[in-house]
Amino acid sequence: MNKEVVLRILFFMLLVLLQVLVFSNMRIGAYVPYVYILFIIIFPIKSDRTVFLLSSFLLGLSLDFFFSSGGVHAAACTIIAYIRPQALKFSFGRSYEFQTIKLNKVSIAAKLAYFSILVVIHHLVLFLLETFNLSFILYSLKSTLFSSIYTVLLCLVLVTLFSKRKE
Amino acid sequence: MQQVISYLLKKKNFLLFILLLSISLALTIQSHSYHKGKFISAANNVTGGLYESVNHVNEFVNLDTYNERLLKENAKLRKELSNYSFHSTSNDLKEVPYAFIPAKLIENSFHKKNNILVINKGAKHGITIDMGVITTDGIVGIIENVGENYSTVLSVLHIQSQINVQLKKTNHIGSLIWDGDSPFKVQLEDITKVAPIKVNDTIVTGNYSIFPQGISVGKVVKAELNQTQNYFDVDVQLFNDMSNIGYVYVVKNKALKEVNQLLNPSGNE
Repeated sequence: MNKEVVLRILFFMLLVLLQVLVFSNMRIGAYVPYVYILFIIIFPIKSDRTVFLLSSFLLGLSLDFFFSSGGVHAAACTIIAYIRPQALKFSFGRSYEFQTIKLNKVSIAAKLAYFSILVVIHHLVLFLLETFNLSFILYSLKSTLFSSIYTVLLCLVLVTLFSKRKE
Repeated sequence: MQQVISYLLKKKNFLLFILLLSISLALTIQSHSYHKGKFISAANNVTGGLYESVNHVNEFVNLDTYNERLLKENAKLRKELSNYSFHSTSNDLKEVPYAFIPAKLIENSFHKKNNILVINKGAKHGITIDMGVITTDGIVGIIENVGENYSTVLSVLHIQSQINVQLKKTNHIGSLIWDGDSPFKVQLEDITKVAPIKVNDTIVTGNYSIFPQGISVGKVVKAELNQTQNYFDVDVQLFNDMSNIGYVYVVKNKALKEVNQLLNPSGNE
């Protein structure tokens, strides 16, 4: 097995552990950041799509086991993994088509747009499925808004920290 | 045929997406339906084990509170026991319909709408689905799923939770639900307008319930007739602090099986 794959699997496990042990306890009010989807956000663009879809689904499912939440996280993760190419195209425009973007080199606005699209869709699916009841729609929308802001901020901070350390 | 195969291959990611999405939606729907064996739950050794090892660390912080609670409970029980032995003969003690299994809460949650808790006892310790979970102060929830060493608990703070309770003074029954709003306040349904309910009344668990009768639940903080003027809208403040639970007792109702058999003689649950 090559080094890239092993590293990715370790990153997968690290994010699940961090989400369960750290990020889930970093509640502000009732809002929890779901930082684990960073795995999907920064998954290499050139990689095989089938592998990407499957690993995103497994990521969500692992979280569902910890939160005893049925398939809520799995559904949200599968959806954002599937629509990621569209999100990339929307945020980075042409450079995505040449597959040359590096997350630490794009403008902060493009990065913010890209992160926000995926995070908001993920959270919306998550909170709608969590209650599974239209009478809680206001709660779902409110949670989506505030949790998304929190998640996006944390993700941006983490990505910035990471890419600086690399260079 | 070849065309079909090449078409399918071209669309394989879309098909995979649909497959994965339907699996997760099926799991979600299943988790929202009551009384079904659930595959996805933290009542397994991997997740339970992780929660437990983290809990070992957290426990030290709360040790003082837990000790104090135990002392208080001991004092209360001693008082009750001294009353009891004074008033009754020793024969009464022999047939207790309930057994209490002590357990530790290793994962708490109270900020969601569907709060599921994890305790460190499972099938190995005699726990089965639908047992009640209580603390010294009040009720916590109902066992939802059982693994070998760990179980999950459907908290009273779950929008599908529904528990049979009554007024302590007058035995008027109602059901305890949660509107998903505040983790300290739950709602009481089906209290008719003839019931003399007032603010500060105590709510206890009801007669036919998986909890022993008379376990205190909370006190009424708001009681107003609703729009139809037939039922009360009641808010109940829980005696339990759901954000800091610690140790719990799982209630095994030995008579429940018999009662269920009498209620459904056909035998299927």
